[in-house]
Amino acid sequence: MTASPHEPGRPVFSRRAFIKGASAAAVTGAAVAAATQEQVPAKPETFAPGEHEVALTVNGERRMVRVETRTTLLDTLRDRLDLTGAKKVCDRGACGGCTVIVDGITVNSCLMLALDAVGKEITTVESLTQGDKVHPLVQNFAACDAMQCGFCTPGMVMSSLHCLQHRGQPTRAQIRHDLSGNICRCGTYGRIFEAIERTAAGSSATGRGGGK
Amino acid sequence: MNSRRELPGEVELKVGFGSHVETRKVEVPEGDAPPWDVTTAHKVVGADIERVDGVLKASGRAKYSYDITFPGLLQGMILRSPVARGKLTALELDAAKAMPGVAAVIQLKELGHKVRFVGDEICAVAAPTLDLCRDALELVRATYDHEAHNVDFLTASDAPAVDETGDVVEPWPADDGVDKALGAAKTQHTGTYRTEVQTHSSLETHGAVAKWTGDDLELWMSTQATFGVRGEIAGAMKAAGVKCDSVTVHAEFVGGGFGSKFTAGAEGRAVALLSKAAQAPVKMMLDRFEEHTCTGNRPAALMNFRAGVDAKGKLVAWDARTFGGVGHSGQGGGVALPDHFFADSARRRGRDHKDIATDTDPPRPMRAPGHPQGFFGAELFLDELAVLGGFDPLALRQQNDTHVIRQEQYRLGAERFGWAKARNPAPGSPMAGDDPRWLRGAGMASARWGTLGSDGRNRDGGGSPHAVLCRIHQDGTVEMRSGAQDIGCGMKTVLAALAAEELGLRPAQIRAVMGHTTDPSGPASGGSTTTPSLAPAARNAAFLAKQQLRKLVAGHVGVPEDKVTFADGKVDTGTAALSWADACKRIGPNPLEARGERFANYKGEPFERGVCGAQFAEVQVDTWTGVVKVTRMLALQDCGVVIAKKTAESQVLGAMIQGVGYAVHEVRIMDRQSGRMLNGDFLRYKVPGPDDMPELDCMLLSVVNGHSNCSAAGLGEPPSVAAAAAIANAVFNAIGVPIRHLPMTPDKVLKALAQRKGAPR
Amino acid sequence: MKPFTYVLPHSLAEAEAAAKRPGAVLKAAGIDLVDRMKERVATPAEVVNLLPLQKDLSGLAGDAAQGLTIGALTTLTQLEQAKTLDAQALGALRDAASSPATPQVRNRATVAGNVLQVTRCWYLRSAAFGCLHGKKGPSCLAQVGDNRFHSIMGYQDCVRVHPSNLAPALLALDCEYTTTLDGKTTRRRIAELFPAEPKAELAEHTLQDGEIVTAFHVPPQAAGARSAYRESREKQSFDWATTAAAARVVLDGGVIKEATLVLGAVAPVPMPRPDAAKMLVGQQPSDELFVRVAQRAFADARPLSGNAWKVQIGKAIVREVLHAVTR
Repeated sequence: MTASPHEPGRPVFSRRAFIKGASAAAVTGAAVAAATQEQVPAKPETFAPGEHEVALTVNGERRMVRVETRTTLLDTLRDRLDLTGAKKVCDRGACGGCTVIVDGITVNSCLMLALDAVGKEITTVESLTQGDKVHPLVQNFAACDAMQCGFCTPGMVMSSLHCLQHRGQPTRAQIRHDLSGNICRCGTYGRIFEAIERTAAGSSATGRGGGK
Repeated sequence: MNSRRELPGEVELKVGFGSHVETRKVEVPEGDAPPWDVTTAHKVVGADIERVDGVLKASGRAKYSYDITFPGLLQGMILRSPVARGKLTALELDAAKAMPGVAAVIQLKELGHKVRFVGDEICAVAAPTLDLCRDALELVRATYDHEAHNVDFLTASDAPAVDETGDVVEPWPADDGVDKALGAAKTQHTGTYRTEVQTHSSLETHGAVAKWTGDDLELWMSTQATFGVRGEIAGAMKAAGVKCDSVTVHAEFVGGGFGSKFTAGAEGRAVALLSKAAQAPVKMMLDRFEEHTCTGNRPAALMNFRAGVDAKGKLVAWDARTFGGVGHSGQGGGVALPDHFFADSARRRGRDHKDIATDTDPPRPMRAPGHPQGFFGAELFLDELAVLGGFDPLALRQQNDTHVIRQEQYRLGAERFGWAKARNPAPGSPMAGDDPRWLRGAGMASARWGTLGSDGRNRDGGGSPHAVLCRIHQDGTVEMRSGAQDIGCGMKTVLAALAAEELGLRPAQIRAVMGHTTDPSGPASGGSTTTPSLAPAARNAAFLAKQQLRKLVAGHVGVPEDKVTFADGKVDTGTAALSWADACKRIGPNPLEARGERFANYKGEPFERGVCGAQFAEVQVDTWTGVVKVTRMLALQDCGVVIAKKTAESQVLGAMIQGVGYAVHEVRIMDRQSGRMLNGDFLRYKVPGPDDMPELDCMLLSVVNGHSNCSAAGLGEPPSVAAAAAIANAVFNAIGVPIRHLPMTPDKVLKALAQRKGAPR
Repeated sequence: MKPFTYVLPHSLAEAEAAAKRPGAVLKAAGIDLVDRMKERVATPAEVVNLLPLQKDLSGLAGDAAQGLTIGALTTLTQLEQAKTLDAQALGALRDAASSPATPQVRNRATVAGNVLQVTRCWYLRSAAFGCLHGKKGPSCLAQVGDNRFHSIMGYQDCVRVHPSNLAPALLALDCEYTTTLDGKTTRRRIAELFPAEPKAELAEHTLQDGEIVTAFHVPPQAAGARSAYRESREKQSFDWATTAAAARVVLDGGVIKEATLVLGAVAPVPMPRPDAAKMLVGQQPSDELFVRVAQRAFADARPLSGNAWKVQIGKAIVREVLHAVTR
C-alpha cells in the first residue's frame, strides 16, 4: 500500500518555492529572516490585488505564470497554461469536472486559489499521454466506452487514477465512493467502474477500435 | 459480405426481426448503396466497436468550445435582469465602458422593452477576464419597472382548478362515446399526475468563441445544430447591421446538449457582436446558474386521466386532459401519451392540452419532449387501473398492446428481469425475509418514439439534401466527413463503422470528422434523427468511393470491375489480393472523393415507423427516511439496425440514469417572492451521482425497418421515455400507494407511506 | 471574486494580527470562503491564509483512552483515515468526517473549516438576495420563502440550519477547543463555540476577530464508550444532510450508563438534547425506547411552512443512530 498522502504533518507549504512578484509593492515579507533562523518579528508575505508572476509545478515541469490573487488554479491551468483537460462545469466544487491531483490527492481546482498551489506538485490529465504513449487507464476508458459527450471524462480519469493509486485493487463499493464527487450527466458511471476494474486487473485495451 | 446485386429499381427485402420477418418490395434510387436486410451478414456493423474519439476524450486532448483560446482572447459576460416581469426603463453603460480593460459593451434590450423573467438579457461586456467582466457589469446602472409576477403555473390565472389533494376538479367535457363506454366498463378510474421542471444540465454550458477575420466570422460553439446556428447568426448579423460575409461554425466536441442547444441563443448572438466591436476574439460561456435558468428546460406538467377496462382488462374508454407549465412564451409544454394502448378505446377526437405561462425561462426540447412526463402519468395511471381491476400491470399492457416488437420486449423483459419474483405480492408490506424498514417493489412501462428520422431533406433553407463525404487518400487514409455534430451519441463511430463495413476495413482505420460547417450539411441532433439521416448517406458515400477505387484497381490490374472485392483489409482482384495500402497507391495526389446523398426514404410502408421499448425497474423504499433507492433497471430498446453496439448501449444506459434523476431527485425550485431559481447549481439541483446509480441492464433489438439502405433508426430519445414511469410504478408496487407527483422526494414518500392501509404512525 | 490582498503569515501571531485588520478574513482550504467570494456575498479586502501553518496545526495526538487532540487544520480525509478513529468510542468522528460533500472536498477541507463554516441557506449565499443574517436586508427571507431545508427548532429571527457534520459529533463527545488570541491560549468546552441564542446578527460561531482555533480535544473515553453519527439526505452522492444526529453512550453489562444526543441540520446551531438522552440512562437498548427518545428529542420542534417533513425523518435518524451506537 502506498503511503497516504493524507498523513498529517506532511508539509503543505514551502516558502522557498515562491518566486517573488515582479511588482515591488507586492512584497512586504521578510523571507530572508527565515533563512537566518532568527526569530525576527517578521511581517507576513502579502500579495496585493492584481497580477503576480509565480512558479507552478505542473506535470513535473516548472511553469512560470501570471496570476491574480483571485485567480483559481482551474482558471490558471485552462486560460494561462492551455491545459484544458480540467473543465469548468459548476465552478463551485460540486461536480468534480475540474478535478486535478495536487501533492498526490484529488482536489477541485476551481475552489483552490492559484497562489495556494505554489510549491505543490500539480498533476493534470494531460500527464497520462505522451505523444503516442497512452496510459492504460485512458485506453480502458475508451475500450469500455466510459464516456459519451466526454466533458466529465478528464475529471473522472483523475479520480479513477487516484483510486487506483491508493487502493491498488479497489472493490466496486470503493470505486463508487472514490468517484462520488464526479458527476456525469450523460450517465456513463457503470462503464467508468468497468474501466477502473479493467485497469486494476492489468488488462489493457485490445487496441483502437479493434472491432469485436 | 453483401451478396445482393447492386441494381436500382425494385428490390425485395426481408424486413423485421427474429421470428417476425416479412418481405417488402422497395424502390432503390439510382446511385444508392444496395439496402441491407435481415439476411445481411455484417462484419463490423452491430459489433462492440470502440468509440473512435474515446482516447481523445479520456486523455483531455479533445478541445470543446469552452477550451478554445486565441492570443488576445477576451471573455464575455451578460448582465441579466433580477426582475421577473416588468420593463427596462433606464440603462447607464458609461461607467462600464470607461472601466480599464473593458473592450466592448453592447446593449441587448431596448429601453421600454419588456423584461420577461429573472435572467433576461440586458447588456453584455468583453474584458480580459471573467472577474473584470463582472466588475464592469457591477458598474452598469439598470432600472426596471416591476410588475407582479408568477412563477408557479398552478397559481396562474388560467390554471385548472384543483382540490387540496391536487386532483383536477373541473368537469370533463361531455362526450357520448367516452361517457357511455366508461359507464359500461367493469372498472373505472381517474387521477391527476404532476411533474416538475427539469433542466438539461449539460456539463459544458452554452456559449461560443467568436473570431472575425475581416468580415468573415468563425464560431466555436457548444451546439447541437451547426448549420442551424450558422444561418441564425448570419441572419442576426444582418439584422444588427453588422457586415458579415460568411459564418463558419465549429463544434468538433460538444459537452452535452440534450435538446437545449439548437439555437445560438442570446449568448451566441452577443459574443459575435462583442467580438466585432472589440476587434478581438471573445469567449462567452455561460456559468452554471445561467445554464439552469436561461437555456431552457423540460416544462412541468399536470395530467388528468379517466379510463375504463372490461372484465378481461381490455381498455374500453380513455380520456385525457393535460396542462404544460411553461415559461413566458406560453408554449412548448406538450405532453405525449402511450396512445398505443388506446387504439380500441372510445376516445375524444383531438388532444385536450393547454400550456400555462409563467414568468420564467421558456422550455426547450429536452430528450424526448413531452414523453417522460406523459408516460409517467399515463403508465402509473394504468398500473393503478390494473390493481383496481385485479390485473397484473404487465398483463394489462400485453392485453392492450398489439405491437409485435413491444410484445417481444415485454416477454423478453419479464423473463430477463424476473418480473414475477420481483413483484411485491403485498404492496405496503415488506417482502418475505426483508428487514421491515425497507419495502421493495417492481414496475414496468412501455415506450415508443414516433419517427424513423428525417429523410435527410435539409430544412435549414438549403434545399439540397444532407450528405456525407468520403475521401480515400493515396496513403490509405479514409476520411468520413460531416458538417453536423456528434454530441456524445457516437455519430463519428457510426460513420467509421459504416465506412469500415463497406470498404472491408476496421473502424480504427477510418478518420471520422464532424462539426465543421465547411463539410457537407447534416441535421441538428434532435428528434433522434442524426443517425437515420446520416447513416444512409454515409453508407452511400463509402459505397460510391469504393466504386471509384474498384474501377481504378480493375483498370490497373486488367480485370472486370465486378471481380474486385473488398474484405479484411484487402482488395481482391480474383487473380491477386492487394493490401489496402497497395491498392490505394494507385490513387494519385488527389484523393478519391464521393459525396453520398441522403436519398428520401423508400416509398411504401416500412416494417415499423418508429422505435419501441419497454423498461423494468426495482426499488427499495426506506420507510424511515422516505428515500427511494432504485436498485436495478432493465431496458429493452429497438433502434433499427444496430450499427455501433457499445455506443448505442451507452445511450440507453445514460437515459436510464437521467430517468432516475427525473423520477427521484431533480426539481427546479423557484422563489415565489423574487421569481428566481433557488437551486441553480449542482449542490441542490440533484443530478444522480455514482452512488445513486442502479444496476443497469439493456437489450438492444436490431430491427430491419426497410426504409433506407441501412435501416438505421435514432436512439437518443427513445430510452428516455419509459424510465421514470417504470420507477414510479415500482414505487407504487413497493408502497401500495401511488406517488403521483415527481420527483419522489422523501416528503412525498412519507406522505404516501402514511396513507397505506393500517400504516403505523 | 472581487480583488483582495493575499496574506501568507509565518506564525499564528502574524495570522492573528493580519486577521484583526478591517476587511480581513481567515482562510483555511477555502471550500466555504472561496464559494462565497465567487458569489460575491463575501468581499474581504484581505484573505489571511492559514495553510502555511497547516503542518503545525494538523494531525492527531493521543487516543480514545488517553484523550485525543486533533489539529484544527487536519483535513477531513486525514481525520477519516486516522487509525485512532477505529476505536468505537470515536465512531461519531469517523462517521461525520466521511460524510460531507465529496472526496475532493474532504481532501482539502479542514476540521475547523467544517465546524466554523457559514450556513448554506440559499438566500444568504446568493448576491441577488439581501437578508438579515447576511446583514444586507431587514428580514429573514426563508421564513416567508422556500424553507424546505431550513430550521425546525431552536431558531429565533433567522431560520438557517447549521451546516457542519462534525459539530454534532464533537458536542456529543463533550469535546473542548483551544484558541489563541492576544498571545493567550484558551481552552473551552465546545458548546461555547456556538451562540447560545442564535440570532440573525450573530455568526455561526462565537470567535472574536483574530481569534484562531488551533485544536479540538476529545476527553479520555471510558471502556464501554461508543459513539456514532448518522444523517439523512435525498441522494447518496454529494448531498447536504437534511437531518443529522450524533450519539454517545457508555454501555456496561448491557445497560446504558451515560448518554448524549446532539442533533444537526435542524437548527441554527447544533442542538444537544439532554432531556431525551436522559431517558436512555439506566436502560437496556431497545427499539421501543429509541422511538420514545426520538419523540422526546423533537418534542419542541416548530416546523416552518415547508419543512414539517423533516421532523419525522429527524426522529428516524435518531432511532438509527441509537441503534448504531448500541449494536
